[in-house]
Amino acid sequence: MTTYVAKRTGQMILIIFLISIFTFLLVSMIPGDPVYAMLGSEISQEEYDRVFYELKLDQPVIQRYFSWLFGAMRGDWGQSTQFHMPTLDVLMERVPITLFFSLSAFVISIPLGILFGVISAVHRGKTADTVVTLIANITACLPQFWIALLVMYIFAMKLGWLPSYGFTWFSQDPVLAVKQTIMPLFCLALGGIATTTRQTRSSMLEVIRQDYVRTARSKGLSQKKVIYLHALKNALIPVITILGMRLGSMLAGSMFVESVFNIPGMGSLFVKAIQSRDIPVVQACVLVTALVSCIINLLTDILYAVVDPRVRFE
Amino acid sequence: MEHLLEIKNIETCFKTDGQLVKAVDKVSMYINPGEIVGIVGESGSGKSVTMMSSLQLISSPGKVTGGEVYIQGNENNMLEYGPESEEMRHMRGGKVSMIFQEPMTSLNPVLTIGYQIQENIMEHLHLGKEEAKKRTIEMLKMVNIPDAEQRFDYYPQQFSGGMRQRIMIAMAMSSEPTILVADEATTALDVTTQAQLLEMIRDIAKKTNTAVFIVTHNLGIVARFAERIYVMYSGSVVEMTDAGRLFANPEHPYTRALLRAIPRLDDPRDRILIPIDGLPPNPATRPEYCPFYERCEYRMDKCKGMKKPELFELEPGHFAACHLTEEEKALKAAEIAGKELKKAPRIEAGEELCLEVKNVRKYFPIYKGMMRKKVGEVKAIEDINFKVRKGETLGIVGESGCGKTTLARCIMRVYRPEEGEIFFGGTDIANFSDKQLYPYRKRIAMIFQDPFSSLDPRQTAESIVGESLLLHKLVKNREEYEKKVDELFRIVGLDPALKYRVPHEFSGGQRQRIGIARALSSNPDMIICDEPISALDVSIQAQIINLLEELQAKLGLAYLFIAHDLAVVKHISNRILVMYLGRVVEIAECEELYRNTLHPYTKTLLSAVPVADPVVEAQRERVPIRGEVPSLTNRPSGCPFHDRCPHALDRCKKEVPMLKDTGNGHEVACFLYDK
Ligand SMILES: Nc1ncnc2c1ncn2[C@@H]1O[C@H](COP(=O)(O)OP(=O)(O)OP(=O)(O)O)[C@@H](O)[C@H]1O
Ligand code: SF4
Ligand code: SF4
Ligand SMILES: [Mg+2]
Repeated sequence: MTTYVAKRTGQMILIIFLISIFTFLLVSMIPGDPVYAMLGSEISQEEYDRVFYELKLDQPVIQRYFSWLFGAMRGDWGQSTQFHMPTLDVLMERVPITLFFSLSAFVISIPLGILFGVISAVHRGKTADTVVTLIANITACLPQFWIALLVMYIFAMKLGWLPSYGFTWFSQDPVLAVKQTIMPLFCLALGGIATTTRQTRSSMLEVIRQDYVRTARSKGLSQKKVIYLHALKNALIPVITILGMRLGSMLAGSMFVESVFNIPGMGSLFVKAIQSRDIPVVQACVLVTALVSCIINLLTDILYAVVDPRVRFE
Repeated sequence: MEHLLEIKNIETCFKTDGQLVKAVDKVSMYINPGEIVGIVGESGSGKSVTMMSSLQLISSPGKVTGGEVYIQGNENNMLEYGPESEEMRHMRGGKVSMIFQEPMTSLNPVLTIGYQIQENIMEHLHLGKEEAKKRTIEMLKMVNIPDAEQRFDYYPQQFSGGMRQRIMIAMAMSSEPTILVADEATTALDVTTQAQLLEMIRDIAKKTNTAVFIVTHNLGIVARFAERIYVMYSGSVVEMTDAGRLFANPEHPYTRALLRAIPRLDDPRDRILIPIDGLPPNPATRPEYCPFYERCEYRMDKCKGMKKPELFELEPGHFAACHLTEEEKALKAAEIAGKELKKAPRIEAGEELCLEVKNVRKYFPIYKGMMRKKVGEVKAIEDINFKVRKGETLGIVGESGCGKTTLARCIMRVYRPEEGEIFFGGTDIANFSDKQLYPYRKRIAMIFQDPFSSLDPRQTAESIVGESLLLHKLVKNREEYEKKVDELFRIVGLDPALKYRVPHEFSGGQRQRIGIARALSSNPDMIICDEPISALDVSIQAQIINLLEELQAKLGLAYLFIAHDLAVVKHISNRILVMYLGRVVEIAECEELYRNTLHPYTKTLLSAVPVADPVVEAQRERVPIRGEVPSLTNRPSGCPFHDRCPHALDRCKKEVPMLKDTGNGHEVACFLYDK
C-alpha cells in the first residue's frame, strides 16, 4: 500500500512538472512579441524595455523557466499586469471561493447520488425507481446555464426571495451568505447528483447479478447486509474511479456558475486575465487548477485501492 | 415428518418476452440425514432452478409459482414464508448451505475470505467475533488451506480456483448445516482437483452426518459419489432410484439413451456411441405430452395422445416417468437391440508421418511496471517431442494451464517457438515467415472450443464455411464455390438450405458442425481440435465425436485432439500424450496407457476420472494426489512432478527426466523406468 501511494505520488509530481513547463511556455506561444501582446503596440520604448526586463526576456528560455519555477515554489508568482499587485494575493482572494463552491457541491452530491442510485437499483422497476430515474435523466440532460437562468428567474426575479448575484463569506454576514450561496450551489450540485445517481444505479444493477451476491444471499444474510455490504462495496468501485472527473467538472462548472451569478471566483478571474493578457495570472490559474486536479486524482486512486484490494496487488 | 428435507411439486416460471416459461414443472425430491443424493441432467434441465427455488433464491424475472418445501424442525411449508423472512434466512445458509459452480466469481472480491466465513458463522451460530474467527481458522484448516491464520486476511483473488472452491466448502460447512447443496461445484475445475474436492465433501459429510445434494451433468461423478440419483429432463424428474440400480437397470428411455451416448474410460476399443437425435425441447414450446417424445427411441403413438407421464413406482424405490408398460418397453428394447449398429469406422494409420515435433520450447516474457521491464518468463512449454502419423488421432490431455493450447498455437504457427523443429509433411516450418507459411496454412486447420464465440456473429454460415475456399483460391468460379459449400454442409450433416443463416440461429451442436465444415474447406491434412466438444451438452457430444471419426475414415485426416475429458480423448484417439506443467510426461497407445500406466502423474489423472458405473467405481484403485498444480513461473526444479509424486527419489529433485521409449512405442519421462 505504501509503495503504491509513493508510486502514485511520484507520478503526480512528474505530471505537475510537465504541466509547469507547458504553462510557462504559454508566454512564448502567444503570437508576436509578448510585450506588445501584453500592453498593446502603442507604448514608449522605456515602457517596453521595463516590461521586457521585468519578464526577463533577455535571458535564455531554460534559465527563465527555472527562475520562474523556483519563484513560484517560493510563492512569488510575479506581478499581475492587470491589478498591479502580486499574483499570489490576487489568487488568495479568488481561489478559496471557487474551491468552496466546487467542494461543497461535491460533498453534497456524491452521497446523495449514491443513496438515490442504490434506492433506485434495489427497487428496480417499481415506482421509486421510475421517479428517481426520470428526474435524474432529465436533470442530467439539462444544460447548467439553463438551470441557472431558470432558478434565477424564479427565485430572484419573480419571487424575490434570493439575491441574484454576489458572494459573501459566512463569517462576514451569515444570512446574506446563505442566501447568496443557495442558488449557485444548487445548480452545481444538481448535475452531480444526477450523474452519480445514474452511475450508481447501473453499477448496482450489474453487481446484484453477480455470483458473489447470490452467494451472500444463499448464506441467509439479511437484505441490508447483502445490499450495503456485499453489493455496494463492489458497486462503488466504478463510481470512485470517476470521482476525480466529477470534481474536475465541478471546478469547471463552478467557474461557469460564477460568471452567471457574478461571483468573484477563479472563473471570472481566469476569463478576465485572458482578455487582458495578464500572463502571470493566467499561468497561476492553470497551474493551480492542474495542481488541484492532480491531488484529487491521487486521492481517488488511494481511495480506489482502499476499496478494491485487487488494485493493491496489481 | 419423514425426511430431512422434502420438496413437493415445486414449480418455477421465468418471464421472457412477456411469456411465462415453466423452467421447473412439478418436481418432487427428498433427502434423508447423511445421505448423498445426485441430481443429473443436461444443461437447462432445471437442476439448479429446483435447488434455488426450494431456498427461494430465484430472483426476478423468475418466480416460484407453486409447491411445498418442508424441512425437519418446522411444520410449515417454507415457501409460505417470504424470501427475506427470518425463518427462510435461518434455513438458507443455516440448515441448507450451497456451493456454486464458478469458484472464480462466487466469492466477494472486495472482502477477505476470513470475513466472509466469519460472517456466516456469526449469522447462524450466533458466536462472538473472536470465537467466529477461531472457528473460521479451524474450518480453513479442515479443507487443507495452508497457513490458515495468515490467509484469514487474504482476498479471494489471491487463491487458485481449486483453493477458492475449498474455501467455499469451508464457508458452507461453517454454519453446521444439515444439508449441503453442491451445484456443479467442481465442473470448472481439473479432474484431479475435482476428485480431491468431491472426496473431501464426502468425507466431511460422512463425519458430520450432513446430507449432500450433488448436482451435475456428469454421470461419472454421480456413479462414484451418489447413493441415490434423480435424473432430470426438460424441467421434470424422469427417473429416481439408488445408484446401483440406475446404472445396472435404467428404466426410463432417456436414461438408457444417455448411457449409450457417453464414452467411458473403461470402454473397449470398438465401443460405438449412439447419439440421441435432436435437441432438448425449448421450455417455451414444450408440448403437453411427454417432453422426450421427439427424441425417444421407445415412443409409441399413445405417448403423444396422453399427458406428460408422472413418476411411477416400477419396483420398490425405483421410479420412472414413462407411459409404456414393462412388456411394451421390453418389446421396444429388443427391437432397438436388433437394429444394426453402424460400426465406428476406423482406418489403420500408416507409417507415413504427418507431423513431427522436436524439442519445441515456448516461453512468454513477463513485463512489469510503467517501463515494461522484463522481469521473468512463463515457461509455457519445453522439450516437446512427438509424432503424428497420417490418418491418426493423437489425444493431448493435461490440466488447465499445462500448455496444451500453447502447443497447438505453435504448431499452427500463431506463435514462433523459441527453439525446436516442427516438421509438417517433411518440411520444418518452425521458423518460416508468414509468406513461406502461406501454402501450409491451408493444410492445417483448427476447430475451437466455443462454437459461440469462435464464429463471427454477422457472417452467414455460407461465408464462414466458404471463406478459405476464396482465400486459398480453391474454386474457380461462383458455381463451383456454391457446389463446394453445399457439399461441405452435407459432409458435416447440415442441410445446405440453412446456409444463409447467421450463427445465433443455430444450436450449439450445429455451430460446431459449421466450425468443422470451415476447417474442412481448405482440404487439410491435419485438424487441431482444441476442446471441440466441451461446450456441448452430453447428448450432443456423441454426434460430434461420431462425425469426426467418420470424417477421418473418409478423408484420411490426422487429428490432434486436445481435451480435458479423458474418456472422450481415450474414445477417439489412437495414442495419447499426457502433459504436465509444460512438459510431455507420457505418450502411449490408448489401451496400453490405460492398462499399463507408467507415469505417477498419469496414474493419478486416470484414477481421478470417474466412470459412469458404480460397480466398476467400487473396484477401482484410487491414487490420491496431494497439493496443487504449481505455477509455471516457479516450476519445481528437476522433475516437474516431484513435489507431488509419492515415489520421488533424490535424483528427481535435481535432474529433469527425459522421454524414453520403454518398448511398444510407450514413452515415459520418469526415473522409475530408467535402467
Ligand atoms: N500470450 C500469452 N502471454 C503470456 N502467457 C501466456 C500466453 N498464452 C498462454 N500463456 C500461459 O501459458 C500457460 C499455458 O497456457 P495454455 O493456454 O496453453 O494452457 P491450456 O493447457 O490450454 O489450458 P486450458 O485447459 O485451461 O485451456 C498458461 O500458464 C498461460 O497463462
Ligand atoms: S412416454 Fe413415450 S415418449 Fe415419453 S419416454 Fe416413455 S416411451 Fe418415450
Ligand atoms: S521422475 Fe521422480 S518425481 Fe518425477 S514422476 Fe518419476 S518418480 Fe516421480
Ligand atoms: Mg486451453
